Amino acid sequence: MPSSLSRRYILSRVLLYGSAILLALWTLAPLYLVALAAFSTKQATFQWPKPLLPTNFSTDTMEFFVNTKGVLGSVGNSVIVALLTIVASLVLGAPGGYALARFRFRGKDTVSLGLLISKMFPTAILSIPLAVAFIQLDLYDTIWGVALIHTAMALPFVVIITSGIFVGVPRDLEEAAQTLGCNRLQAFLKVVMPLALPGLAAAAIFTFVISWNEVFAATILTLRNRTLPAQVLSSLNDSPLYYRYAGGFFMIVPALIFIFLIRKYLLNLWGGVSR
Amino acid sequence: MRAKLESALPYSLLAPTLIFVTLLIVVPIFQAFLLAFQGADDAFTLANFQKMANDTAFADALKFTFLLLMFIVPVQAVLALVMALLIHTRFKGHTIFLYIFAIPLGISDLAAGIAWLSIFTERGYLNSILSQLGILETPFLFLSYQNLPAVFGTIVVAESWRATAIVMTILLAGLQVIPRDYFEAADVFGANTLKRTLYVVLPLLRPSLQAALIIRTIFAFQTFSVVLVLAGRVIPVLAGESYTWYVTNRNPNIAAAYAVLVLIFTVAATWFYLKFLQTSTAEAGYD
Amino acid sequence: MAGIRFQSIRKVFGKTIAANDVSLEIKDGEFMVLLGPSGCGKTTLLRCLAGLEHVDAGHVFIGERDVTDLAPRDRKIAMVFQSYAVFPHLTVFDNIAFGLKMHRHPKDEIKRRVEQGAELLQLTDYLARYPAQLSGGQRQRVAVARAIVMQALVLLMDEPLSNLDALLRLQMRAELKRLHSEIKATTIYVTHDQVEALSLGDRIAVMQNGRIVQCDAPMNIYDYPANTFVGGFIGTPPMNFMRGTVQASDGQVAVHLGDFRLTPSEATGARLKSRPDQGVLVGIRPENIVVHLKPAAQALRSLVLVVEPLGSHKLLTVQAGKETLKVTTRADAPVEANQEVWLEFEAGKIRWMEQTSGQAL
Repeated sequence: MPSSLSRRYILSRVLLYGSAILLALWTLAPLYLVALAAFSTKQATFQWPKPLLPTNFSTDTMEFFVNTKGVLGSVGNSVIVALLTIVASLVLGAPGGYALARFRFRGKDTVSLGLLISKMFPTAILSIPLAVAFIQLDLYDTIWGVALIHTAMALPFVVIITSGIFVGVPRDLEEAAQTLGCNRLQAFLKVVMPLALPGLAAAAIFTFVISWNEVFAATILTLRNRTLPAQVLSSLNDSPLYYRYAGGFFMIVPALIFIFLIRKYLLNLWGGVSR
Repeated sequence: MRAKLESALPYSLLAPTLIFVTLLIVVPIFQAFLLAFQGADDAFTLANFQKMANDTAFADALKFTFLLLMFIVPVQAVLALVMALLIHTRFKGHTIFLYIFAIPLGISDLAAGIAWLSIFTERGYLNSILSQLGILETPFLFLSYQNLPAVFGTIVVAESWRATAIVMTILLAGLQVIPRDYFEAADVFGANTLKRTLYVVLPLLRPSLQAALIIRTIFAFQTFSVVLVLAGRVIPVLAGESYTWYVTNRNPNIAAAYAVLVLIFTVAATWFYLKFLQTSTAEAGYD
Repeated sequence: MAGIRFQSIRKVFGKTIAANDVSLEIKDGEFMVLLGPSGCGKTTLLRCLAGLEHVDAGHVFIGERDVTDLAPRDRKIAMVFQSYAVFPHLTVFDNIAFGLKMHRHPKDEIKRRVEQGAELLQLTDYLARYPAQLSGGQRQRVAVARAIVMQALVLLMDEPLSNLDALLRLQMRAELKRLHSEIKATTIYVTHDQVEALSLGDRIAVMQNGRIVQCDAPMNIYDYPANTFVGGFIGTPPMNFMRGTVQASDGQVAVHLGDFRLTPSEATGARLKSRPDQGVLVGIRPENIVVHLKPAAQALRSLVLVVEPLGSHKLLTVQAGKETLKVTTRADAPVEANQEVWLEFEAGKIRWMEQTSGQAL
């Protein structure tokens, strides 16, 4: 290779890796720093200048946070709401995804378009009118109410994702099962489900993250039965700084783990279906 | 007979979802409008909107919501494009970087706000670094109400940090649909990387860009927790005002008025993008 | 085992008529091939028999039972799919056993039948493997084994060999034929490959545009095609068709091919007499044309355009007047391009078709 070309090549490689590393640091820094802040003593919160290395590792603030009244309860509520949301959105949405994947029917395009629109829809803001309705329905300040709106937020994703998953299972596998003695339901359970399971698991995890992270609706719809984000948000003005750091860290960690678990499916979530 | 049952099957499979969405999305939309236009004795009234408009925070909320939009969307678009293009070159180790770039997908705006709080707060990490580098002697009050531009800046940074991942995944998926031949053809014809990006990639990426911008703008209208964490009510935004009117002022009607406003802006923005960028969402590979 | 009857089957997809009032009877134990180009309706007919498609009109009978409204599982059929449809998440054993398990056969019975089927298809060593670990040909055999262990009334096969490479296809064709002679199941076999049809079928139903054009034993279809479509579809290379005009003069009928006069047999002549001055198509297979290197009686003069040496024979493309014909000769025939040859049509091998409709006369 002539030297000018190789120099250009090296330069472009340096640029490539350099920008990638820079952007990665930019992404990771705040996470590292808030973790640092969450694992220091209460006094360290007001220390200045702050050390950038975990020299004063302490579980002080985390303990304080966890032991604050209402926090553990809110964590429990968040988990329960997320689980309810997963069950509801899969039970309601997966059949719809199957219908989209397997059938041609009148109105299919309208349904697809509608789901697309609802994917982008500001559903959270609808918690305002829903709050009024829930008061009358005795659903206000319950985890059920929050789970309902979270399901509404997750459903479009679940239908679209499961539809993509089911499309990936060849139709003639079901037909073969039908010729071998299965009715439609048995063919679905014995052949499609086992093959769709990894994708469904990813959809479930994604739904968990949506529900776990949701702030606005959860705060509007609850008073005493808060989810974790609602708990942290509603006490923002009254809580000490270290409390907020610990809360933030607490909210981040499970989501991080789950995103790692579904990293293969990340591109499918927002960017259409890539197989 | 069996044929008739089977032809009804797709509808019955979709029915639960459709009913649920109708009850929990479509109906509340109408209810939001009803609430917003509801006066004493359930009469139709514009009073709520008037009160909303006359509120001191209203003009600021409008202003800041749109300002945030105007800053955040372009910043994210550029950042996300760079990230997506980098990953798309499939350099060695790109999967690790993809995971790192995608991490913010799992982080709520509240948590993101708190993370950047630890950086921008008076005794936070940014001031610490700046002072250790000798640039500052006393901490700079990024989050002080006396420093509105700075506060605004922190929100832009925090929101950009958080939601760039969403735009990136949309663009990345769009990039993957472009056949490699296009890239190679451009190479063969002597285009260098920049030219190639401008003249080949961007036009082909238009549907994805459009989808990404629509989504990002819609979300920008709902910006809420980040602002609350970093700026409190110093910087009002539409969603935040809706929240305040409901929770603090216990006025669901004005809160609904703000909600209606958000809904209208959302629809308007979508329409605007669709017209302006003039490609169908089907092109973006959404079906 | 049972016979099958299609009664006036009609199936429409949107604007396309896939099956247009099709009726067909298949005998018990028969190997019936549905042959035709893609889109002719053969797969549709098969799927209607399987119950995977609903018929818009008509009835399907398996044995004496009207199965038209029954689900596939109730029809006592077994099917081999073009893509094999082998279940990726099950072992070969569990794949083959799947239908038996669904029908709740006792465990030892299942084991016995699966092992039997595996032996028939040489899969005994692979029973514990997963489909991903098998080659295409092996997966195909799993699909066949899975179907035959069901001992169903009817065996359906939808282009089972089309995804195999040429050599494997040859082997499997012979194996399927051997299999059929052993298990003697009533079989419906769909293919677009006329070689498979000729080799495997007891009878062939040639389909075009949703209709059965001819249904007969392979050699009858080969020797006496019902129309130009069948003649052109069966046989490689396909049958030649030349345009001629009938001229009746002093009681004699002759067919003119340009300058060349062809005298038909008495029987044919009688039929042609009623159509004076009408166009007719003269059909003759490439292997039924004798090539003379010197002018011969009753031989058509032509020019050799292309010579293709194909190992076992030579394939010539010749030009006779306005017509282009394919002719086969022995591999060592001294024929070259741009050579003049004289073509003699073997007596009794000429097929006469109407010019406009293409139907046999």
